[in-house]
Amino acid sequence: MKPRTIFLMVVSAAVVLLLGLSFKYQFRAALFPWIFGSLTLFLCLLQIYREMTVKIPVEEKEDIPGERPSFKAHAEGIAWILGSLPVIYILGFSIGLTAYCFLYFKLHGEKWLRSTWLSLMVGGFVYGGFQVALRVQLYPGLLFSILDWGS
Amino acid sequence: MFGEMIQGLFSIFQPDLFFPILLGVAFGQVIGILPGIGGLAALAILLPIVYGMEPLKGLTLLVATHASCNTGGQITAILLNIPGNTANAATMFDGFPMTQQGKAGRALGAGLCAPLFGGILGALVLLALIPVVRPIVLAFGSPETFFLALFAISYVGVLSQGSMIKGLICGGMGIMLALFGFNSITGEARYSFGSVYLLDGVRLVPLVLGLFAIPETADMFTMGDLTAKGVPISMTNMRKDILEGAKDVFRHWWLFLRCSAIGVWVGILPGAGSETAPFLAYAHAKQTSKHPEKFGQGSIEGVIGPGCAINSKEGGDLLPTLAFGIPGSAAMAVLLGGFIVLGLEPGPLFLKQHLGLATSLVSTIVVSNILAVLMLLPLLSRHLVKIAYLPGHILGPMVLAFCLIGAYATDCNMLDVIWMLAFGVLGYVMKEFKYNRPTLVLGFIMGEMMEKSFNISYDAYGLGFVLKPIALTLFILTILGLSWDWIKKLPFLRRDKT
Repeated sequence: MKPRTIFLMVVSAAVVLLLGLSFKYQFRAALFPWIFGSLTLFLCLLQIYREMTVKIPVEEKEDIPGERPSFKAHAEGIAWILGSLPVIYILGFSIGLTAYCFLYFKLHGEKWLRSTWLSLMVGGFVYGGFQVALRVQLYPGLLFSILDWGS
Repeated sequence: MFGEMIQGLFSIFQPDLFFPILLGVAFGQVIGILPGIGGLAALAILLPIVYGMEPLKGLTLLVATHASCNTGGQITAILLNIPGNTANAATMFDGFPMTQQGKAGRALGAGLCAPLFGGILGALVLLALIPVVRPIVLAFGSPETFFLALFAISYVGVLSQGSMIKGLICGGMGIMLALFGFNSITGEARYSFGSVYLLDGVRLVPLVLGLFAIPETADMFTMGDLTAKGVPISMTNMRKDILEGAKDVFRHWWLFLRCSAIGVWVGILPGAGSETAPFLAYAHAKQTSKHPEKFGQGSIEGVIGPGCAINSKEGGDLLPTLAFGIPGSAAMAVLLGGFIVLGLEPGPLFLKQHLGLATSLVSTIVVSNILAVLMLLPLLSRHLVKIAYLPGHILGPMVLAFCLIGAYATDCNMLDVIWMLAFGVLGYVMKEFKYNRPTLVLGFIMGEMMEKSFNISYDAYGLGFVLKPIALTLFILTILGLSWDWIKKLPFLRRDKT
């Protein structure tokens, strides 16, 4: 089965779940989920049917001609993006983002000096721009909360 | 009314309002030059920053940023064949060949002055239409608003690139996401899954950042080297050539007017996608040129045509956003989110209650366009262009940091960051499989409004609200739009059968 069909199946399953839950609500609260949930589900099933039986025109396909990154590159990129969350969770925004950027720059071949000043610039922007200028109470991070350095 | 309009027009010249415009223009230029990050992402990044600001200041910052993004993108499109935004891609067709022929200055002059004057013209059209559109707008009550929102979602879905069904699925997904949280009629918490966070529904900022900014960042992470690779640029005689290019816009004044009009019209149409305006203008310029064979090989008309439309659409785009609460493009959908974040509700009553604010946005567009060109010509273009040479592995983490802090700063809630990353994965998959993400955002923004309008209409008129003339017309138009693919196949409408 093609990945795009699996994606549609996941969307359909989510819509079925939402439709099922809406039966618990009063009529006025459930009306919109019923109408638009049913329509969306119908369209998803129609598209699944089309993708499994009808030949999809070239412009609708997800494959773009030319050089495409490999699956490994995709997975690596997404892993790096999602990996930012545990870093922030443990180290907080200011230090976490500085450390994250430094690590990324260094592991991708940047020199020590450039990696350092670029990541310090990011950290400075986050701390100076948000915590100092905009007075946003930045999340201090689990480690610093335990050590009580965050406040 | 006119007194309020004039007051609004000049209100931005106060120092405390002029600073956000200046800041917005500078930020817009940088974002415009950055490859892969368009005005849409710029607005999404700024959304949490304007949260809590005074409405006029916040809106001038957003509008100034968006109005100047495309102008910045013209530079990389012309000099490096890299469009800053999707809309700038049309400028590449003839702008880059001119650079290769040593006419970079002339192309830059035309490529920067055409958006400047196009933007001003678009803003003036918006100003002229505001008093005219007001009585029409006031005829729009809840039934009409409901059907207009339905019409806009279906229209965007139908016009989606590729498949109509996929476009409509996105609209449906957006509406379903909008239904999370407390229902205003029954007070029931829908789809909260026991989470306190979801009682307030899905938040707009993490959704928009996740759907648009994260997939672009992911591309930088995966592709690595997105940016330019040393195209030699001659900076000699740059000023003289730039002036010559500016004069070219006046030499082709009729083309300028026609292409600007195309931009305004495409901007006004809900869902036509403002990115299409420069391409339509390019096609029109080629169709009407005396030398169509020169297009694609460095024709100045090929730079002027899309250049005019690229910014004139902004004025047209703002009109349905302000007057009807219906965004004409994805960026306007995000701007609409900005209005909501600032406690304003665009729609039929907006022009009545905030006419001064609406006209001050017109002057913001004019001033931003002028400032954008003044900032770029001629000195800054040399320095700003260097950002386009930054490799993806440096830009990527920096943009991601922007997104992460942006999502968190709205409510100081880590769950917003988690939701943004989750929507980021959704956005990435949707981008890969060519699903129309702006339609999802449109459905999300319209969904709540639709349900509210429906409930008010039902309480006031019962099901008879469907029969109100404007509402019925919009309903018929929606049905016709959805079934147009089948209607045009009817035997008596097929030209080839005659």
